[in-house]
Amino acid sequence: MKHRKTKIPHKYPKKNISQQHKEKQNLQNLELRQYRTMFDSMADTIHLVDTDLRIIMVNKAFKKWGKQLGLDTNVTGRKLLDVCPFLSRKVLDEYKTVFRTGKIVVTEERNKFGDSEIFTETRKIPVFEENKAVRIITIIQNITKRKKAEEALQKSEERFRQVVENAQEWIWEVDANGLYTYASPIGEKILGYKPEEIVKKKYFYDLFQSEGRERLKKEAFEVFAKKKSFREFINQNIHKNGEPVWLSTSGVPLLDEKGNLLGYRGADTNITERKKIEEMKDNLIRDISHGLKSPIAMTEMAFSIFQEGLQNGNIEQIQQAERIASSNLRKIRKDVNNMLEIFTLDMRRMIEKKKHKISLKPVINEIIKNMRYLIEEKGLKLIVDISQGGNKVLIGKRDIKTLIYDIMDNAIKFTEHGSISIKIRPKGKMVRIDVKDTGCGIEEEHKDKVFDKFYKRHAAIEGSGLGLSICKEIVQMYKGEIKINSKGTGKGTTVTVLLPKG
Amino acid sequence: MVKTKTKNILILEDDRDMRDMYKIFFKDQEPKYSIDIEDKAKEALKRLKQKEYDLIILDIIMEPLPGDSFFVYVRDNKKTVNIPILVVSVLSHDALELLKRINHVRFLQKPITKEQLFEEIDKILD
Repeated sequence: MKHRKTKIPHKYPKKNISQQHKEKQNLQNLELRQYRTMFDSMADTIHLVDTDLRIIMVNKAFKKWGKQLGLDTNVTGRKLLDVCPFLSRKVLDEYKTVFRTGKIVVTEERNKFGDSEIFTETRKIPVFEENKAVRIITIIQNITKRKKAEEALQKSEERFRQVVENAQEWIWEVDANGLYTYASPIGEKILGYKPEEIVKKKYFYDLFQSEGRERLKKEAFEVFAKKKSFREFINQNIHKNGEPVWLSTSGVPLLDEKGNLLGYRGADTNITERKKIEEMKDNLIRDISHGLKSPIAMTEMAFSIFQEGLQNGNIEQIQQAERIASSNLRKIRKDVNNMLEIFTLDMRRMIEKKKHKISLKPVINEIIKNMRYLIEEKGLKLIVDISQGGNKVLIGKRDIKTLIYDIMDNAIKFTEHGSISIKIRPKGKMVRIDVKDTGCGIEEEHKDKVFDKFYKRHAAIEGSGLGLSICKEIVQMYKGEIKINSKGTGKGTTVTVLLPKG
Repeated sequence: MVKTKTKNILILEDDRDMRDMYKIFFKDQEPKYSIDIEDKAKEALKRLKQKEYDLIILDIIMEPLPGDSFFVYVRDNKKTVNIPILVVSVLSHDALELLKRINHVRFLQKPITKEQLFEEIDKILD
């Protein structure tokens, strides 16, 4: 304290000044002391400078701040720029502006001190004497917390907006009558309507499928009446393009302070795919049971005629029974293998594929050897044109076998007369495999569907309907292509596969 | 005793193994039963126009002319409306609920033995 007292007069020499000046000086000192008491009690850093930007006074908070920054705390009487050498040209200009205009300047700064970032708000307030700004009180407020909170809020608002706009769920609000008051943009993807086509234009039940609309509407308004929240209300809606869309809707009531219902806010999840998968699953179960039931029944029957043949010594019947049993066991094995294949493909795709350079010739020859009896049994001609290949492809060994076996098997299955041919040719960076048959062919409109899982042209066709979908999965896994071509019903089919050369 | 007339049976079956099975079942049944086997509904319909049958045996799932439309044709046609039909299918009787309401239809669920088949045929034709 003592030190400070002696110091201030030092800057304001008492000698050689008039009485008037002396009084003024006293007044100033009094003023300063009043300032100091007030300033020291404030948490914001404050310093007072004269027109030369010489520091007249700083408060406690300033000293504390300076200490934290490692600045010299003995600052009174020194030039601001000496004490704070980091001040920019801009800051100095601001001081000039305040002195010149006499107007308060408020700025915000973002300061980096080591690892920490400090936001400040600086107010430069002119102090007048005889209508002239002679000093400036600078109040620096640490607004880091506020700034960080603002930033966090902005971020979270942005995040919320992003979540709402990018969520798979369609976020909406309706009023108490069910009229949309907000609709997130994803609604366009799900239902085909832009927010502006929905908000204030559509009631939620307008989008329901007409069949069952009244019932769903009634159910919904029963919930509204209770002002209860609801979860996973399943409803079928109609996309703008007329396609059905299944939605699972959850919502919470919006109430005013008196508890009156203002409306509902909620989210819709598009469960159309899930519904489709459920349907596929049902079909699968039906197909598995039917697909397996028949060959199992046939095998059982083959055994009973086998026994009868044994009792009667009827060799021909025994042979027939053996043929029927083995043909049906093959169907069972194929169906079960295909099922396993399709269910493990997804998993296997996750595991990095081991690719090998595999010569097609031996693989095809081996498959042909195993399938020859199937071809001969039907009286079909087999044309093999693989000598020009000599090609290696980059693929997993098991996958190339499955691929060619399934394509060949399909060709044989749908061909009653004529021939099956397999051909390989190099084609740029790829190897082209063609399997051509003279069988029942395929209608143009079914071409895309043949690669769908469980696709069968009609229920009576044996097998799981998985063969070609497995082929497609495999080909895609190795970045190849698969196509099916047919000139129409009864005009044969060609399946073409392109695989990367090894 | 009057010699029993040969019963004509039309079999419509798209599964080759099952057709072979019928052939084995009926091999020693001549002259009591005479069978015609077809794998396509269209061909079976032609047969029905040419010949009088005492019984039709079929599996219910038949394409491209679906088995049930074959069924409908047979039941809509004066000439064939009274021919008894035996459905031999892996489907259970319950699954074929709709067909049960039609007159002169009986069911056997696969697998069947020769004995079961003839027991059923005799029941129908007696």
